[in-house]
Amino acid sequence: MNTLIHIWILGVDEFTQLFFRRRAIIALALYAFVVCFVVYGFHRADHTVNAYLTEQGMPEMKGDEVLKKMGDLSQLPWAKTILNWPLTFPLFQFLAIFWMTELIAIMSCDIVSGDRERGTLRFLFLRTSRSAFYAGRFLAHLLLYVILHVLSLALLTVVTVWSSEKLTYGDCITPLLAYSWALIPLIILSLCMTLFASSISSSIVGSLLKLHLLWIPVFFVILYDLHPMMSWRTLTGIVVPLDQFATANILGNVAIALTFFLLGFLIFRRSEV
Amino acid sequence: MGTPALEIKGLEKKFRRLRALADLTFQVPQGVTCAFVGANGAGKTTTFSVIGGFLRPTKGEIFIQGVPVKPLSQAEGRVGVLPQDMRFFEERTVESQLVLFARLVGISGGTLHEEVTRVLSAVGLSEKRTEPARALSRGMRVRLGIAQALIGSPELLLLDEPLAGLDPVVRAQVKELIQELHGKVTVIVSSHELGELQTFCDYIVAIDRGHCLFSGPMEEALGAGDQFITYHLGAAPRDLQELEARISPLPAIVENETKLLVQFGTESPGRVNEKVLSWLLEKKIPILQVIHQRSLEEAYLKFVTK
Repeated sequence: MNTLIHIWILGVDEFTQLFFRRRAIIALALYAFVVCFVVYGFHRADHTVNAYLTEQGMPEMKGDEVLKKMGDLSQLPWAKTILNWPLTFPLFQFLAIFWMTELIAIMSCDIVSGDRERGTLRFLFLRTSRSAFYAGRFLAHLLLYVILHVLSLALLTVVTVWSSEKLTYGDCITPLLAYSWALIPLIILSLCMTLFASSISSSIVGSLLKLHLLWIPVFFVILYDLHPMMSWRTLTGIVVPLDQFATANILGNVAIALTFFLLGFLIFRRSEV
Repeated sequence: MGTPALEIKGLEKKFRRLRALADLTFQVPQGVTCAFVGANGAGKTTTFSVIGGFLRPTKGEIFIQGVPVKPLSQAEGRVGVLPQDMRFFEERTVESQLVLFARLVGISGGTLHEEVTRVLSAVGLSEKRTEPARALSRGMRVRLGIAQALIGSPELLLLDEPLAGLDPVVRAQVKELIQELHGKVTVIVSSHELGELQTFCDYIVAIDRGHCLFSGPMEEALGAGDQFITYHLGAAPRDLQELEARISPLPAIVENETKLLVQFGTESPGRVNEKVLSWLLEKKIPILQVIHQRSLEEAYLKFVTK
């Protein structure tokens, strides 16, 4: 019971303190500015995903032809919907998922290493166990990801539906939940990295490096390698919402998340400070 | 003697090849203010870190109030520690940091702010409670460090170099603060300021290279065995062997270039002093001050030379 109370105290305390750090304020202000800019610039855009992709990568094919060429996809109603989506939606997806993840990583990457570098870890270890501290910091990390992502995705959904009469809330929510789920291993990997980083700066560098190593190949494929078959499959698997995407990743995500969590816990509880 | 506040048995700590603590064994009784002295690298901070649960001992046992402490386990509020290189949550207010620490030791509700007010008032930081830690001076930080250590009324307080880097006024205030804790809680203070420790500590543990040289009441340490006469000189003495031959078998120790300590043991201090003064005059070494008073510094040097 005592441990649970400690986890809650440490988690909530760290979560609230994260918003008082200078870099968190700058990161969130920057995010808000870019979102407003994109909303202003694109909310009346008539471009669809199909039109954009046709112009950029596949001038020889129209939307329906692409779907037919891809076989089964032409039978799926959601695939046609995707092609008719306004371009705003993928842009906001990029902001809400990729960029927000990056900002959250910058905000929370020193969640343990900061205490180690400051020397405050010792003050906390005098009063709580390593296990409670670890779980408390994980809770703070998780709360930050969940709350900011929910806000960001809610904003994305509202703006998308508002900017296109063709989309409903239902069209947006399922894929976004799938994406959020896909982030869970990233959250735990972030926590693991901050456990072992020796300083705040190395945590920030490590966190950004990790995100880019994981995300850049994906966006590289999407944005620059629009070869017909491969790019469409990649696109449908990662950017375009798929219920299957979430289902297929549930077990994998749970396994990766548990592995990272246990690894971090087992090493950290034996570490000296 | 009842259950000691702190008992350490055969404590050993190795950092790869370096053995920081080697079979360290001592006891500190309840309610004393204990001076924990040793040269740089003697193992003072390592000992505090092992007791606080920050470092895992290679070997040995620690008992606080007779209860064994598990390696790397939290002290559960029984031990308050002022680390040597303490740093705080710089952006947070003094009060907010103490509230967090108090909640972690199980203080909540109405008593939470009472406890914070109590410790802030005890260290004289009440008017700084809404200031962020970064706005505090070195002296105030030490006070805040002591305040956080006092949260939850711990049974044992470990203060690592609380007097280091303080100006004389603040040092006197911190000393007074530690003196006020005497009898209320067992305090162990590590410092190189042996003269200062002598004025407010009633127990001493002296260590060197990870071994305990002496542990016992301050009077015993100061009165035990041989005693010293201290000569503050205007120039560095040379040909010390000549002096040692004259006062043989007593040793003469130069602590720094112009400070000479002469052990007189069971000899008459007057006779020893006479011999030393005549030698100094012969050598035309100016004598600035002669002090025939036992000091903790001398006692410590005696332990080391033994």
